[in-house]
Amino acid sequence: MIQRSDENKKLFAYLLLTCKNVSLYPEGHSISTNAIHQFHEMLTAHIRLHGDFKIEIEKDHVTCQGVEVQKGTAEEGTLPFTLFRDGIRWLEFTDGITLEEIRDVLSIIHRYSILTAEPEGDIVTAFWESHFDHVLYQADDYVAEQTSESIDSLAQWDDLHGMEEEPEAGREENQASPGEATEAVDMAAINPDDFLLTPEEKIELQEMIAREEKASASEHLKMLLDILIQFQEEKDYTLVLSVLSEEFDAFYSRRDFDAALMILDGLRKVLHSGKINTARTAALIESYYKEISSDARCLKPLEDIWSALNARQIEAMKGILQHLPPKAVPALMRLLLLGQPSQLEQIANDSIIALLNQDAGCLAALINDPEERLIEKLVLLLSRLKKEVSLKYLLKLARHSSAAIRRMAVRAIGLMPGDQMAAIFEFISDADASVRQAILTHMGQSRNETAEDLLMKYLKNLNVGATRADHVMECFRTLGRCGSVRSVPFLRATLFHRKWLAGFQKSAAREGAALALVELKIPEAREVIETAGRSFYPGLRGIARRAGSEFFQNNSGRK
Amino acid sequence: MSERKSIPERLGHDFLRALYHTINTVRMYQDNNQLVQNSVLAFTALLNELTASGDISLLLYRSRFHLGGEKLPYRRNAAVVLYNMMEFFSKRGIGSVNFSSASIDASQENIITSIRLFNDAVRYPNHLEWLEQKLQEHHIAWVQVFPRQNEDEMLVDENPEEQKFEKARKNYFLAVESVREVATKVSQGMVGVRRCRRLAQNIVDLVQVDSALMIGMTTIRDYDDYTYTHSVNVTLLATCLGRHIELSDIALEHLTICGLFHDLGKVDVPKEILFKHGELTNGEWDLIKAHPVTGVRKILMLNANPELRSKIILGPFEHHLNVDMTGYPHTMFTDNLSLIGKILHIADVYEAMTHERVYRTNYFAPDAVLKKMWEEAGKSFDRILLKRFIHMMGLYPIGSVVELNDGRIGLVMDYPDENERMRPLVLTLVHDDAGNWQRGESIYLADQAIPEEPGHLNITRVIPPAKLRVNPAEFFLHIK
Repeated sequence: MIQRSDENKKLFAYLLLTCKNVSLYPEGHSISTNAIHQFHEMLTAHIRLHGDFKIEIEKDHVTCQGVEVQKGTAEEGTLPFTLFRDGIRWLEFTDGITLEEIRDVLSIIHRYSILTAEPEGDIVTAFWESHFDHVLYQADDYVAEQTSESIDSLAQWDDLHGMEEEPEAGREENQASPGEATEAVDMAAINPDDFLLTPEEKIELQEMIAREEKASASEHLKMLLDILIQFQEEKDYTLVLSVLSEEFDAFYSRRDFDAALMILDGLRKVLHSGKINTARTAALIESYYKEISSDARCLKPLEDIWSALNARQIEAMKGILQHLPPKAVPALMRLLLLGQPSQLEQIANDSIIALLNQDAGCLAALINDPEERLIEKLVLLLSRLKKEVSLKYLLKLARHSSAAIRRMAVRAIGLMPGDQMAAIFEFISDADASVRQAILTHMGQSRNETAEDLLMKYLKNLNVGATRADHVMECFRTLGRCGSVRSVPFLRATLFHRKWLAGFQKSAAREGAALALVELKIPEAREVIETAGRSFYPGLRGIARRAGSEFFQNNSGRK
Repeated sequence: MSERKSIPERLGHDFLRALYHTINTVRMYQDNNQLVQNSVLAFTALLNELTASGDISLLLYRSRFHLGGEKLPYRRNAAVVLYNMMEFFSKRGIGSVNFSSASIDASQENIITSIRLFNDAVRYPNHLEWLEQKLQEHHIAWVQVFPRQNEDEMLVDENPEEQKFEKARKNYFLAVESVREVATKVSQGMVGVRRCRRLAQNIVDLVQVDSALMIGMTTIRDYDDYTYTHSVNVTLLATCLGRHIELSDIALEHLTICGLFHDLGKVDVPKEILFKHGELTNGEWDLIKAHPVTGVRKILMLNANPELRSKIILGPFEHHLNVDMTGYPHTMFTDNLSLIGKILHIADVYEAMTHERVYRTNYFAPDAVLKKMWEEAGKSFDRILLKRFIHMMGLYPIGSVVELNDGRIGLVMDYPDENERMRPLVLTLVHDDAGNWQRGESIYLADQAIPEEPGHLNITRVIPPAKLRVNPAEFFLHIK
C-alpha cells in the first residue's frame, strides 16, 4: 500500500515536471520531448500495474487513486491550479493511452495556462474537441458568478408556464384557433417514403457535409463583403475591414491565393458598386489596399515561395498583384531579382507597369537604388510607361554612375516612339565609349535630318585635337549613315580644308569626312571623292583613293 | 478452461449495443418480427464470441460498465447506449449479469424469452427477485443476474436518467442566459466565447444522448424572453438536425453556436417594433430586415479565433435567406447558402410558426407547419435537409399533442425506429382530480399498427398544446 502511494506521488510529481518542461521549452525541444516520452513510459507502466490513473482535483488538495499527492492551495500556473480554474474535477488516463495523446493533453494545458479576461476557449473546450480515446475528465459547467443568480431565478419552472400567464393565450382560446384549422391536415395521406432520400440526394447531402466540414473554407468571405455593402457607419466598415485583413493574412500564409484574391476583387467591387455612402468609407477601403500591400504582409513572404507556385496559384497571384497600390512597386521590383520562372517575371513586370502608370512617384527614389541589377530591370520597364514619364526617368538614368545603365538608358531612349535623336545626343560626350557608340549606332540606323544636323553641328564645333580619333571617325561614319546631300558641303569643306597639314588629329577629320562620303552612297559624295583623288596633295589623293576603292567596293552597281 | 484474453474495446461496445438493440426490438415487436430475429442473431453471435473462452460478466460499477472485468471506456458515439443501459440496470436493481458459455446452446426462442423477462421485470415490485425466479421457471441457465452492491449504491452517482434531465434543463437556461449576456455585453466591449462554446459542447453531448428529449424541450416558451428562448429552441432543433445528418461533433458545435447567436441582431430592434400589433411601416420593416447583418456585426466583435469565427458567422447571416436566394438581407456576393444557413432557416421557420407571436393572430400545429414547409421545398428550403428534418421530427412531430382514435390525448415523445416515422411513441396524458394533466401510459403506436386488427390505435388529429393547456416540455423533463 505504501509502495503504491509512493508510486502515485512519484508519477504525479513527474507529471508536474513534464508540464513545467512543456511550458519552458518550445515545441519539439529535446528536453520537453524527452520528458513527455519518459512520463508516457512511467504512466503506461503504472497503469499496467495499478489500473487507470485518475487525478482528482479539489481546491486545496489533489488525490491520485485515493492517495493525496498534493496539499494546500495550488499555485497559479501549476497544473492543479489550471485544471481547477477551468472546472475540471478529475482527469483520468486510461489503458492504451498513446504518446500523442499525452503530448496533446500537455500542449492544451500549456496553451490555456493563461487566460484573458474574455477567453475564446479553455482546457475543457479543447479537450472536448480533441475527442481523446484514453483521456477521461469531468468538468463542472461553466457559470459566471454574476449570472448564476439570474439562472437560478430563470430556472423557476413555474415562471415559464407561458400559456397560463400569457394573456394573449386566453384570447386565442375563444377565437377560431389555428389548431382547429390544422386539424384538416391529413398526415395519413402523406407517404412517409416521400421523405426518404434518393441515392442521388444521399450523395448530395454527403457533399454538403464535406464542404461544411472542410477546415479552411472561404465561403464566409463573400458574406463579409455582402455585409460591407449593407453597412452605413464608418466604425462598421473598420470592423469588417479589420476582419478581412486578418482573413487575408491567414489565407495568404496558407497559400490559398484564390481566397486572398476573392477579398481584393470583392473589395474593389464594393468600391465601385455605388453603394459606398461616403468618401471617407471609400477611403477606408483604399487604405486597406495600401496596408495589405506592405512588404511584410504580401510581397516579402512571397520571396520564399515565389518559384514554387503552381499554375493556379500563379494565376491568382497575378490577380492579387493587380490590386496593389503603386507604393508596392519597389517590393515588386525586388521580386524580379529572384531568378523566377519567366511566367512569374512577366506577371510581375505587367503589374509594375500597371502600377507605375497609375502613379510613378516612387520612381524618383527607385532610380537611386544602390542595387544596380534592380536599376537594369527598371530601365527595361521604363520604356513601357507613358512617354513623358519614361523619358524623364530614362534621361536621369542616362546620367547614372554605371556605364552599363547609361548605355541601356540611351538605347531605351532611342527606342522610344517619336524622334528621340536630340534627347540621346545630349550624351554624345559620355566618358564611356560604349555609351557613345550606342548613341551613334542608333543615329546611324537610317537617314535622319535631325541626326544629320546634330552631328554636323557637333563635328563643326568639335575640338578634334582634344578628342579621340576613333570617336571622331565614328561620328563621321554615323553622319554618312544618317546624312544626306545636305552634308556634302560640310564634308567637302572638311576634306579640302587648307590647313590639312596642321596635325595628325586634323588628318582624322579628313579621313572621317571621306568615310562619311563613302557611307552617304550618293553621286554627289562620289564626285567629291573623285575630285579629291585629283588633288595636288598626295595625302589627300591617298585618302580619296582609299575612300574611292571602298566606295566602289561597297556600292558596286550604284555608280 | 482457457485463460480469458483481453476483450477488444470495440467488441465490448458492440456487445452492449447489440444487447440494447435486442432489448428494444423485443420490447417493441412480436417474436416473429424480422427486426427481432435479426437483432437476436446479432446479439448471440457476439455473445458466443465473448463466451467462447469462458463465462463473462457485465457489471455496472460506479456508473461505468465493466465487461469481463474490463471497464468499457466512454465513447461519445456510444453514449446513448451507455446511458440507456445504465437506466435499464438501475430501474431493475441489477448490479451485474453473468453470461455463461452455455449460451451457445440457447435457442433463439429461449433468448427472446429471457430478454422479455428482463424487460418485464420493471413492472413488478421486487424486480430482481421476480426476474431471478422467472429465469429459473423458464430453465434459463445461461444468464444470471446479481443485485447492485451496497457499496455501489453509495458510490453510484444519482440516477443517470435524472442527471440527464437535470443537465438538459440546466443547460437550456444557461443557454438562454448566455445569449442574453452576449447580446447585452457585446456592445460594451470584447466578449469571449468560452462560455458559449462550453454550452454548445454540452448541448451537442445532450443531443447525442437523447435528441428526442432535446426536441421536446423546444416546446418551452417564454413570452417575456421570447428572442432568447426562440434562439435556444432553434439551436436545439438545428443541432438535432445536424446530428440526424451525421455532422461531426465539431461541426455540431459550430452549428449550435450559430443557433445561439442567430438572432443577436434582434436585440437592436426596439421591442415595440418586434412585438408590434398590426402592420409594420417600411422603416420598421427595414430595421427588422437588418437584424441578420447587425447580428453578424456583434459576432465579429466577439473574441473568437479566425477559424471559429469563419464557421459561426455564415449561419446567422443566412438564416432568413431562401435557397432560391430570395429573402433578406440582399446579397451581391453570396450566391448559395451554407449548410448551417440552410439548417438554421428550417429550424427558425419551424420554431417561429409553431409558437404564438403577437404580430400573428394564429399559429400552427407542428404537423401543419411541416406540411406548409414541405410545399416550399426547393424554393424556401433545401429539399434534402427538409426531408431529413421531417424524417427526424416524424410526421406527427415530437412534442405534438395528439388525439388518438380511442379519444385519449397523448404527447408524441419519440420515434424509436428509424424506419417508422408515422407511428410514434406516445405518452398518454390523463387528468388528475384537480384537472391537471398527468403522465399516463406510454404506447408505441408502431406496436399497435396492424391495420387489419380491430381497435388498433392511431392518431386522429394534432391539437395545439395551448388549446388543452398542456406544457409538453414538463413531460419530456419528467417534471410531470
